[in-house]
Amino acid sequence: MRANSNITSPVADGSPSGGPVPDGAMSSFMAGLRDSLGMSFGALLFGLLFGSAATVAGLSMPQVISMSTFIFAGTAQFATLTLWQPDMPLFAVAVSVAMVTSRLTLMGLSLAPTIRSMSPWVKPAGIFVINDAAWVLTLQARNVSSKAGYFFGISAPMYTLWVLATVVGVFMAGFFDPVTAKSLAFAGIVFLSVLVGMVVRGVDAPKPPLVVAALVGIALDGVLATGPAILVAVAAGGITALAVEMARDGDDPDDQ
Amino acid sequence: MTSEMAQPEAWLAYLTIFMAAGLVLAMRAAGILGAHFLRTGPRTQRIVNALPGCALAAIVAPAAMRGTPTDIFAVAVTFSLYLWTGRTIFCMILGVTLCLLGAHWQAGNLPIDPIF
Repeated sequence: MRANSNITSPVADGSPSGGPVPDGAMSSFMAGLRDSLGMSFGALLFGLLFGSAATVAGLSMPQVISMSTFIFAGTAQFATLTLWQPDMPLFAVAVSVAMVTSRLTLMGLSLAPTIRSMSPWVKPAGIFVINDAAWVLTLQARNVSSKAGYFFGISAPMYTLWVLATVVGVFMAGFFDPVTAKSLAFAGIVFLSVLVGMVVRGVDAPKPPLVVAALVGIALDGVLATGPAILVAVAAGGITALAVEMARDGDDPDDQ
Repeated sequence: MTSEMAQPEAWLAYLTIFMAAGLVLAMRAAGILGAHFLRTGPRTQRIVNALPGCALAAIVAPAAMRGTPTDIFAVAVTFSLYLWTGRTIFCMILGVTLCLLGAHWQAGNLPIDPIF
């Protein structure tokens, strides 16, 4: 499935704040639903894995469902799970969650024009459902009339499938043999590699920073903890992006 | 199947869950708030757009390198094929299939001797 929508109306990046739903919002929502199919497969698989892993770790079903319903971030949920113990180390959980979800801040920064175009009533929901797939697909979509509608068209099935798959995963605890469970866990990296591929193919951004960040990430692996290593790699990528953009136009980096 | 491991008390478990939920929401909102302080133009937006991709690349590359040879093969083939075809579902299914086959092959569960 190609990620980009083929809707041919002009790009308007969302409806006017607080106004009626524009004609293009529903068609953009449907385009988002269609384009989210591939990524929804990932949400389904990892929802199952999370529900299963959390149940094996001893969480009750309401606790597992609460995590998926209110957190909706696989990496944060798995990070919390790894620290799950009778005397919960709240500070360690907070630091770990903040580190692994730092990319959501960057995605929020990148999606700000789309989120800001949403009605005030919808904006909190838009912020809550920011996720990897919605970020990359929304940035790729060049010809949708409402990027906000498109964003929700991707996020709605992702969220629904994530919660439902978690519930099913609770009943599948212990179903997978260790070899299968371990390989499915690694499949998460395969999914993320497709996301990186989507960035390379379709996002309007310089590509060398991705290579730099990947190389710095590899170099720092085992030297720093995962969270700080990612932050350093992103900083290196950011500096590279600035250098590439400055070299491209050769003038003031402040656009105007 | 549930664990026999000792569990936190219910109030502490829910406190942890809602603290994590609030923190993740704050991380998401921080990006939107941070955008208010940026002079956004095409060039700034391109730089900002590159950053989440850098985070993803910094997660994927070292994690892939830590995998088994078949894991690395699965990531390399899936990534390359996606760049070539742009077909999301096909590449996702292929990637998972390669991971499963590779792991079971290395575990000796397939009727082909592993060479790694």
